[in-house]
Amino acid sequence: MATLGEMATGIAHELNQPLSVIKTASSFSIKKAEKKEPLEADLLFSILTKIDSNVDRATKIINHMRQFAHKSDMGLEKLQVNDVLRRAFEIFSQQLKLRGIEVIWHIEKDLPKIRGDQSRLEQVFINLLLNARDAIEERWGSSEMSSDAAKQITLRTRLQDDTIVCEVCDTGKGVPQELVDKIFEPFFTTKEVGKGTGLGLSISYGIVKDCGGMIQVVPNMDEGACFKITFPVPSKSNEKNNSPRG
Amino acid sequence: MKKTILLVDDEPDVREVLRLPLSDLGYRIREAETGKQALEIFKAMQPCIVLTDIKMPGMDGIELLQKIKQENPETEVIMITGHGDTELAIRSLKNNATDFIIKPINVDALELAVRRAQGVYGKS
Repeated sequence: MATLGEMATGIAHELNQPLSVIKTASSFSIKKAEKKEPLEADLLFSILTKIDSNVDRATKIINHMRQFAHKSDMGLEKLQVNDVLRRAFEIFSQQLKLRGIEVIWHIEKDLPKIRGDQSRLEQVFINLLLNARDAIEERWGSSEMSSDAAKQITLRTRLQDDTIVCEVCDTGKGVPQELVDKIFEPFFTTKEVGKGTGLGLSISYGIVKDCGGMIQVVPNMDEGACFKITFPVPSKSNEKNNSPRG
Repeated sequence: MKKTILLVDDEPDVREVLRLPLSDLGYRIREAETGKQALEIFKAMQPCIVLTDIKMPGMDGIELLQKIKQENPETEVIMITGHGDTELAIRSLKNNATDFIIKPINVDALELAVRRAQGVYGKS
């Protein structure tokens, strides 16, 4: 799972951007006021608009965190898996961008909703994104990397028969065939000492299973690994019997 | 003629709010959103001061600093670091950055850093 430290660093960086815009804009205005120098109307408008939109940006990040921390019990609700994926991505978009990792979206719109726990599934996707990032970093850090390879994470969702399929694929170092079953075991890690707890995928496995789904790793089409999660689409009759909690 | 500052940050909002106080100090501002773009503008315009973010996609601020110093060691380069990135600030200073300022950027700190850089530049 994304460790607390890792989450905190990511969030600190994301929050610092809007805060810096607000600080510079407001301290500039204060300085002008102190010196009794006028600010032209359009300049003032531009400054206030920047402050306003960046407060919104910071609020969005904070709301996100609040939802993330909110639930401790597993609560199954109807949710759109595309939205969950999008939100998980948003929180680390900056980090991926800074590392030059391109994210490619192949999303099937208007997928039927699944039943799951929003914040926990978000954790699963964040975890898969972080693993993808690390796998890419490790491959690029080693000498065997080919120069024409691209740092890419591909996110796919689709409806296939009666299941919803989500894939998080990377062009990282890949998962050797002999490890495909092992990697979901608790405390199993291939990361450097101190980098991974070895719990991320095993917790993810548990969460997906509790939502009635399945997670497995398959080789990526090009190079690297694909984590494939499938969820059943709740049937109509099922829905009547298990109406949402509340 | 007005002296030129080259302002480098990948976020348009950050560039925009930094431009206001710097123009107010009487500088002509040129902007770049990547290290690569910054280097091109630098070669063409030879600004006396460069103000650059460290964390940027592609060429980061430290690499840009090194390349600018190779082109013209006299250039004053001020680095922008995130809160708590002390290690990056130290690395910048080791690469002969003039100064660094910390995000969230207070205009007073910004002006002080630029005036100090200008002072150094004026003497040389």
